[in-house]
Amino acid sequence: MKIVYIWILAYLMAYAAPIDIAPKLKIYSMPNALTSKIDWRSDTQLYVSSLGLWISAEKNIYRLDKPSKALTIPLHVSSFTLAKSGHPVAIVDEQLGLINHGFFLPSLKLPMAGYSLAEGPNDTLYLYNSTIAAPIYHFDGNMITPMALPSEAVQSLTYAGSAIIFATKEGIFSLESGKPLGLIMPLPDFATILSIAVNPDTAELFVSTHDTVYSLNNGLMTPLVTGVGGAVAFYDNCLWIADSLRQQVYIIMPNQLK
Amino acid sequence: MKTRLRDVAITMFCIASILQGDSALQQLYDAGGQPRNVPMPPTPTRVYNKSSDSSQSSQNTQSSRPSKSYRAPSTSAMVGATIFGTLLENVLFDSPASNQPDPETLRLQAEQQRLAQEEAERKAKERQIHHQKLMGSFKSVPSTSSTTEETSASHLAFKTAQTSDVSKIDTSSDEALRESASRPFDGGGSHTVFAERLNPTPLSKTSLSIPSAVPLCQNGNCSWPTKTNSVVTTLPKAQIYTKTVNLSKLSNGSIPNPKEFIYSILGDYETKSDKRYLVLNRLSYLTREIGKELLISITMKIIESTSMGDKLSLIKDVHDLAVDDMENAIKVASWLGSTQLDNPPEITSVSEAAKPFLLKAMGTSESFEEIASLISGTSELFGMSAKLSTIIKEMP
Repeated sequence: MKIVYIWILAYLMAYAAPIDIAPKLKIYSMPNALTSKIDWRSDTQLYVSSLGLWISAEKNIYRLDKPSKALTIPLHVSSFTLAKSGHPVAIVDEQLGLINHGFFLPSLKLPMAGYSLAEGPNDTLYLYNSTIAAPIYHFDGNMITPMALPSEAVQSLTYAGSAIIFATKEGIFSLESGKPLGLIMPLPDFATILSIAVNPDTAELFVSTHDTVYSLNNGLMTPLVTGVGGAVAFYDNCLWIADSLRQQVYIIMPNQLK
Repeated sequence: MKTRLRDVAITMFCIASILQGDSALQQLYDAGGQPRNVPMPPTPTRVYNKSSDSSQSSQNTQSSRPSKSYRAPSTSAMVGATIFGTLLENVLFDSPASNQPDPETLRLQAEQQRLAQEEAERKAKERQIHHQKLMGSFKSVPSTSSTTEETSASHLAFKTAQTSDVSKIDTSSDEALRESASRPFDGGGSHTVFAERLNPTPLSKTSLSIPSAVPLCQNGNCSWPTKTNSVVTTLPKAQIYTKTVNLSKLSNGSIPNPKEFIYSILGDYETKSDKRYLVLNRLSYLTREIGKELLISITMKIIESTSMGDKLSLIKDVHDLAVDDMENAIKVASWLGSTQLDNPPEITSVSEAAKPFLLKAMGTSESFEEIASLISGTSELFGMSAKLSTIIKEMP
């Protein structure tokens, strides 16, 4: 009988071992029925807001909170975000356009390949190049602002207030008008920063690699969860993670207050 | 004021006309919008005697119509009709002379606003229900964590942002230190402004001047501007301040004291703000002890179903109490191990973990040594918590 207990415990420990979460946090995963239908890709993007929970896959963009697909005809979307109207804005074949009624409507040819999209303030977009050193643009649908030309390709980008936060292979930087380029965290020889998210209430940063999500707070970068990684988004005081390696969507939230 | 007086006078005039016998409506009807040069029949004088009924009167009126015998309206009828018409027009239609908004329009606007508000509320409610359903669909993931209770995500009350002094690090317990180190989602500092919170190190002395926005497309031609600030994101190696902390490699052959170690990190962190730290595997070390506790709780749940379950459950209770109050836990453990079960110790702890010893009736006379021997066997297998060992060691 004792051997049976040991086996049960060993199984439980083996199952529990890969995911290691910080105290005072809980982790949940999405039902497999939803995530198993996604044709996952390694550079998946995640968008979470009141407009829904969206994930880019190999041939489509999936909405998981109201299970549906953005595109009627499958297409490889390089990058996407959502406009405030609820329509996905996407890059397909170096063309920027809106997805409406299941169809991609290309409207702008991008200056070069390798550009990705990030949501900006007040229904605007940031465009950054994740393959080569190229300008970071801010675009409001009509006016374009070349923000800066970093000397490295940008791995991921987001914004906090009026500052742009971006990661290169050297570290995490801040870019703000009227201030010099700021170094938030030097990360030479570190894993690729796949995604950055911001808690808009506290300006706390969350950065993710393939297998860890860190909290970045005034020079101290501590892992919130290990064994889980990928694209991250912060919404509703929760950290949302789309993990393409584990093909799962996780949510991390603080424990219930007692 | 004058307008009001005029309105009152007009109204009085109308009332007087009505009282005179020719109703204003009849006068209006009689005036009928006919041109004034059309010869009109004289105003009929209707005398209703008591014996005549209304049908008769009606017949008379109807019989007079086909004859097309128009009557010339009296001056008073004309004036009354005109005034009444003006009044009626004022009531029914929006008078351009009047600055007051039409009540009907206001009512419609209010109704539209109310409907729009109701629609917005309904949509917000739908979104909330939808969000709750989404949250409820997530299921708990097994993980090494300080928490083992099973709670549905949909029932969680989200922790709101709290502010605390970043330099205030609680070193009173390991748990407090762990919280100080991670500060999940609570802000972790009094600053919520990005620049103050993350304190970016300036990499140059010159401030960036972002170029002004220009139209991307003009006259059908789109051109992407390329002239902008070049920023050097390649860091000179000598200026990198990152200190990577790998807890597992810093033990120097012995198990590091987590409290002292984290304190040294955070103490250093407090005094030298220009340095930045990357804690690589803090969790894998610090949660080892939490993992032990999790293991023990699983073990207890399994073994509780056996004959020795009650006794082990008591030991678990002692362990729980020891988390908060070691002194009372030792007292209770000593009491359980003694033969004087009729004489329980005075428990001074107010913690929740002390309740079992206040409430549970002692129905066994087994000596503590027997239970302890079983515990030591379990300990060999799974590695018991250090707290239990401390209790046993410190027992008199």
